[in-house]
Amino acid sequence: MPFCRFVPCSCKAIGPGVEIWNQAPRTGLVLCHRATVGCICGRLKVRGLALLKRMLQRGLTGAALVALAACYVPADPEGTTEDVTGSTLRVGLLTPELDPLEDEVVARLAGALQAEVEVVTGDPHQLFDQLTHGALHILAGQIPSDTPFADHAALSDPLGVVMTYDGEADWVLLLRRGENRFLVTANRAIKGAGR
Amino acid sequence: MKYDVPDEIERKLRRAQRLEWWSIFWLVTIIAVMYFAMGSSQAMKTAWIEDTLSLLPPILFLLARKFEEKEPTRKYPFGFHRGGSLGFFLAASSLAAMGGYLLFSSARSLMMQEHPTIGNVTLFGWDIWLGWVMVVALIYSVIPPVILGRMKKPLARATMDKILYTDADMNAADWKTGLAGIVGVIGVGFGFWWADAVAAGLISLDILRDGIRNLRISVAELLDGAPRKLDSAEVHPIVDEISDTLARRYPGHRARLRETGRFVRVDLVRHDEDATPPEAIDNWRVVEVTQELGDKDLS
Repeated sequence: MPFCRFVPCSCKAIGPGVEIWNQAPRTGLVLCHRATVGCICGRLKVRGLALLKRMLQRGLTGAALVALAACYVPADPEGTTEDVTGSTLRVGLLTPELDPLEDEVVARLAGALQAEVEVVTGDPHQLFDQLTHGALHILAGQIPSDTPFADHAALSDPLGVVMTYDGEADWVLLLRRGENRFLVTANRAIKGAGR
Repeated sequence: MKYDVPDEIERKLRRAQRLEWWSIFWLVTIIAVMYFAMGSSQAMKTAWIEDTLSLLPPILFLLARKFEEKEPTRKYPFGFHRGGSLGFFLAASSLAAMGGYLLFSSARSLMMQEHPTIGNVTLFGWDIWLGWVMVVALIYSVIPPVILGRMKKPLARATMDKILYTDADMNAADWKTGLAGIVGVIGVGFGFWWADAVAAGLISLDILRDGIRNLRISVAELLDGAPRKLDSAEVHPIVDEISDTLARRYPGHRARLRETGRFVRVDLVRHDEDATPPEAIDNWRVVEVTQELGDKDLS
């Protein structure tokens, strides 16, 4: 190897002052006699580049997998989004009529899922029961975030604030728990309606 | 009561103290990040509580170090070596209790079929699913403890510090908690509602197991049991080592060893009335060798 320089250096394995001789070609083991430091550095650089290339490849594969997963994540365990898409969005109403803002959110959500809107009124407990069993998809009607139903339903992002007995609370929609894709779609509809 | 521990041990203790201060700093940042990313995920909640609990051992270690070196007082004539033992017992109890509670809570979630709700969040103008934020927070929560844990473990072995060892062990195993949490959150993302509670259950089983093991070791110490190993309730080899040395020096006599913090006290039970005081033992952990007259055998 004509380009190799012989450089004296210390060898930790034996002690200072001993020169490193050569690097075994296949194993990469350093034999502790005299050094061909130039060669070793050259090999390390090549190895470093190969390693970097491999890491980049793996990183890109990982990123592609995450991007692919992002299309499916989050999913609805009970398939609410799938039920509603191209079908009917069933809204339970706790007040005599839908507030204009709630109406806009519901229309946007239905539009995003190409669904018709069906508004159902009735006894609050029955409506809530239907929501938890998937017969209704959303409960609306100036619901405060501290509603007693909050422990058993998913709360949307706030539409604004409502007055309660204790003061003010976030104004939310109630959805079936764990239907995360549907919740994300509803939250995006709320964000769009606010503009 | 200050004893002359070898310089090497003293240096390692000081280094451990510095590492514990760093641990507290990183843990506080982790607790804050996890709190904001927690949402309603059971696995995240469990991982967050575990991170909060991990603050206890570093704090107890630093407190025990402060107390350990205090001079005896009239009210505490034997000094404060057992401060460490008490701290270890408290840490172990809280770990076991919390592990039990979290296991119950995740089992209940599974039985009640509680579907975890994870919505979206706007971060730097991007609308992303909160689950991804949780995954990033969980990855962050794992890195500093695992590095610090690996740095603390050899120090704990050298200084025979149980609080430090428990802390290092919990930290080094933190990647398991993180991984379980990540699998749980991503599982929920793919629509497996039970993944979250199962992950939380696995994390809490780990916490409970650590808690019970440490509780056994600390109870042994508080009840003047024979010195135990750092990582199990088995008797430490120092017991046989010192008993054999003393048996050679004083044939037919028996030695009793007990632990006070990192130090060991030896009681030579002699059954003759030979008043020669026992000689010192060459081991930095042994700070006291006393003798008493007693029965020959121990049942």
